[in-house]
Amino acid sequence: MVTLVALGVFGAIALLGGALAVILRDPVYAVLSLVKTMIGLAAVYFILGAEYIGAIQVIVYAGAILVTFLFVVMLVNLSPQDIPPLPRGLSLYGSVFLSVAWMFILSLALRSVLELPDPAEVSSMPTNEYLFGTLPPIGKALFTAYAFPFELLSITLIVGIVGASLLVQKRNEI
Amino acid sequence: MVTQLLPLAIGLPALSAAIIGIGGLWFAGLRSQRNFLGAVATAIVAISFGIFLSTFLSYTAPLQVRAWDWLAIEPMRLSLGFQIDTLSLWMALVVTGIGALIHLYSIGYMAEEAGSWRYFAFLNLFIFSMLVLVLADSLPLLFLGWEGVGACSYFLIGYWFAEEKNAQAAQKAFIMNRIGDLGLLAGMIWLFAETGTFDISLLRGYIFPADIATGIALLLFLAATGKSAQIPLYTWLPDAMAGPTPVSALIHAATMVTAGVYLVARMDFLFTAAPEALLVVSGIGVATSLIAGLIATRQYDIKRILAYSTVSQLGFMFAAAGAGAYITAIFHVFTHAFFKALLFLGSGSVIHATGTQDIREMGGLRRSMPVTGWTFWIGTLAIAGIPPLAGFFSKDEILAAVYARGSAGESLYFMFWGGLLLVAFLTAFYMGRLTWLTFEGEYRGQSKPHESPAVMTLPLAVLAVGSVVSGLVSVPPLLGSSWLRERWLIQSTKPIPLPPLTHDTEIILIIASVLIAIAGIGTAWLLFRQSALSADEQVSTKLGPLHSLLNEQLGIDQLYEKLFVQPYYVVADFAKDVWGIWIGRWAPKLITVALESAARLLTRLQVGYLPAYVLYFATAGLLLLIWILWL
Amino acid sequence: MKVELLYATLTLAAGLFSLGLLGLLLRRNILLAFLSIELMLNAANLNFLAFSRYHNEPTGAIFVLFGICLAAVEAVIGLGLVVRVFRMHQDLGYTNLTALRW
Repeated sequence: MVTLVALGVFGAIALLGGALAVILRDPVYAVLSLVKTMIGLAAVYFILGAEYIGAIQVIVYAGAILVTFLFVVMLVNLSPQDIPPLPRGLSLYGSVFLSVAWMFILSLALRSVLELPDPAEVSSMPTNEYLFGTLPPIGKALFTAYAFPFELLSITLIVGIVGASLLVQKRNEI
Repeated sequence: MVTQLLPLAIGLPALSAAIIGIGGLWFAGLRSQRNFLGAVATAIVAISFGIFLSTFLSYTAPLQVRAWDWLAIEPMRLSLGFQIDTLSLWMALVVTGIGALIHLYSIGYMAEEAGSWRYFAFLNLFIFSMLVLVLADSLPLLFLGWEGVGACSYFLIGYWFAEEKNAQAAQKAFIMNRIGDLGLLAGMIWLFAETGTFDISLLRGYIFPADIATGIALLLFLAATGKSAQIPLYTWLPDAMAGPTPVSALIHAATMVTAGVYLVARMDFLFTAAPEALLVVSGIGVATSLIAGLIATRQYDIKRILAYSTVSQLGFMFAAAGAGAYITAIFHVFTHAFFKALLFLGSGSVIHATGTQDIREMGGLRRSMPVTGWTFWIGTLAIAGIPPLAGFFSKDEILAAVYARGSAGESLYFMFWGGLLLVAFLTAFYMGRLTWLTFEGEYRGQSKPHESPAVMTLPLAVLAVGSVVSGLVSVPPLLGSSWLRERWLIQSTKPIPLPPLTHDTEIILIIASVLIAIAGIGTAWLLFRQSALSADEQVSTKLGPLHSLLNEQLGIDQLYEKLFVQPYYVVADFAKDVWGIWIGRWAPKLITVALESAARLLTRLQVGYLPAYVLYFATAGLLLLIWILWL
Repeated sequence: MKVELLYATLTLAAGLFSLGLLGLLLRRNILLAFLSIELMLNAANLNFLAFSRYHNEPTGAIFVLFGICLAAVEAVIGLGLVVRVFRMHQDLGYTNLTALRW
C-alpha cells in the first residue's frame, strides 16, 4: 500500500512536470520542468525496484540529455518571445481530445486486452523480490544473452556522434 | 546393396548430359573429341543398364524411395520419390538397354557431325527424363519426366535446325505434345481433387466412381494420344523423322512414344474402373492402327514408312490396353522396341550409305551391305509376325486378348479384332514392300553404297538377336506358361480378367495370325519379287486417286490447318486489332489518368505543416489500435 | 498487489505518453516538440520496466537501458538538426520548413 501511495506521489510529480513542459512558454522553464519529470520517473523506477535504471535515468536523462537541450536553447538564443502562444479554439480542443483518447486506449483498453498470467501463479513465484534492480544481474544479462545487441548499440552511438558532428560543422554545407 | 546404386543409375545420365553439354558449350576443344564424347555417353547409359539389370536379377519386392520433399503446402505434400516395381523396372530395362545400343550406334552415325556434343548431351538427358518418367512414384514427377522427354524430343528433332523444315517439325511435335500434356495436367489435378494425393501407390487403393474414373481416364488418354501419336494427335510423328535416324529409333520408336502405353498400364486401376474409357482407348487404337497402316503402304520415304508403322504398332498396343490386357500392351512395347529400333537403325545405315531416304532410289542393297540387309530382313519378319520371331508372340497375344474380350460379351471388340487382323496383314505387306524395294532387285541409285562400320552393325546384330528371342519371355499358354505375365508384371499391373479361350479357339487364332502374316508377306513377294519399282508404279496407277490420297497422308495436316490453325490466326488477328487497340491502348491510359488524379487529391493532405502530420499519425494510430483491440 | 502496481504504472505511462502527444500537437517550435518526444519515449521505457517487474524478467530492464542509450543518440542527432535548421532560417518555427511540400 505504501508502495502504491509513493508511486502515486512521484507519478503525480512526473505528470505535473510533463504538463508544465507542454504548457510553459519559456523554453528554459519547459526544459527544467522536464528535468523534474525525469527525476520523478527515476523515483518511480526506484519504487519499482529498478535502482540501477533509476540512477541511469537521473545521470543520462536529467544530467546529459536535458542539459544538451538547455545548451541548445542557449546556443540558438531562444527567448519566450520567439515561441508562439498555444493555439486556441478547435485545434486546442481537438488536440486535447485526441490525447485523452490515447490515454484512454493505452491505460484501460490495453490492460483489459493483455493476457496477463494468473495472479495466483505470479504470487507463487519463488521470490517476490525484483531481481534485476542491481547491477550484477543486469551486467550478467548484458554480457551474455544481450552481448550482440549491446555491441550493436555501441556502433549506433558512434554513428550518432559522427552524424551529429557532421550535421553541425560549419564548413562545406551539406 | 544394389538398391543403393539406383540413384546413381538415374542420376548418371543427367550428370553426363550436363558435363557434355556445358563442356561442349564452353570448350571448343572438347567438341572435336566426338568419339570420346560418344563413348562416355554410351558408357554412362550402359552402366545405368547394368545397375538396373542387377536390380532386376535380385528383385524381391517393390521398393519406394523417397528422395526429398518437393513441395509441402498443406494439405498437399509432394515428395520426390522413385518407385521400383516390376512394371517400372521392366520399362527402365528397355529404356537403358535399347538406349545403350542406340548410343553406341550413334557414335558411328554422327561421326561426321560437328555438333555431336549437343546430340549426345540431349540423348543422355533424354535417357534421364525417360527414367524419371517410368520410375516416378507420383504423378507430378511423372509429369516432369513426361515434359523432359518432350523437350529432348523437340531438341533432337530440330537437331539440324538450320533447315527451316526441321525446325518446324520440331515445333509441330512440341505443340501437338503440349495439347496432350494439358490432358495429363488436368487429369492429374482432377485426381488430386478427388483423392487428395498424387502418390500412385496410394491412388491404387482408392475406389473410383465410374463416371469420375471415365473422365480422368479420358484426360490421361488424351495425354497418351499426344505422346504416343494416336488419333487425333498423331501427325507430329511422321514429321519428327526430320531428326537424326538414331533419335527416331530411340525416341520416336522404341521408348518415348511408348510412354502413353506405359501411362495407361501404370494407371491401370483407373482404366479398369472406366469401361467406356477402355472402349475409347481400344477404338482409337484400332482406328489409328488401320489408318497409319494404310498410309504406310503408299509412302516412298523409308523413315516415313517406318514412322507410320510405329504409329500403327502403337495403335496395336492401345488396342490391347483397351481390352484390359495391360501386360500384353507392355509386352508389345518390349518386343516392338527391339524390332522397331532394329528397323530404324537399319534404315539409318542405309541412309548413311546411300545419302537418300527415297526407296525408289535404292534396291539391291543386301548385296553391298549384307549385315544391314539380313538384320533388316529379321526385323521385317519380326514385325510382320512370322513365328517364332518376337512380333508373332506379342501380336498373337494382343489378338487373343481382344478376341477374348469380344467373347466376354462385348461384341464391339470382335470388330476391333477384325480391324487388327487387317492391320496385321497391312503391316506384313508394307514391310515386305519396303524390304523388297530397298534390299532386293537391282540398285537404282547413283552413289556407291558400302557397309557401315562395326560400331553401327554391332547394335544391329544385337537388336536382331533381341528381335528373334525377346518374344520368348511370354509364350502363349498353349505352348507353355507366360513368364512375363505370371511371374513378373502381374505384381504391379492387374489386367482385367478375361474368359479363358478353349484350346481349339486358341489354335485357330494362332493359325489365323500366322496365315495373315504370311499372306501379307506373300502378297508383297508376288508383287515385288521381280522389277519391284515398276510393279509398285503399276499399283499406284491402278489405285489412282486413292494412291495420291494415301501418299498425301489423307490430307490430315491440311485439315488441321483449316480447322485449327486458320481460326487461330483469325482470333489472333482479332486480338491484335480490336483487343490490342481498345484494351492495349486505352485501358493503361485510363488507369494512369485515374491514378494521377487520385494522387493529386492525396497530395492535398501533404500540407507541409508538422503538427498536421502528427495529427494524421496520431489519428491513424488510434484507429489502428481500436481496430486491433476491439474489431 | 503486483497487478495493482502494474496497472498504476501503466496508467502513469499512458498519461505521460498522451501529454507528449499533446505537446507535439500544440507546440509550434521544433525544440519544444522535441521535448515532447522525449516525454513519449520515457512513457515507453516505463511500460517496459513495469512488465519487467511484473514478470520478474530481465528483458524489459535491458530494453530500458537500450532505450535510454538510443534516446541519447536521438537527442544528439535531433539537436544537431535543430541547430542546422536554426542556421538556415534563423527561426525554429514550422512555417519555413516546407521544402518537401507538394
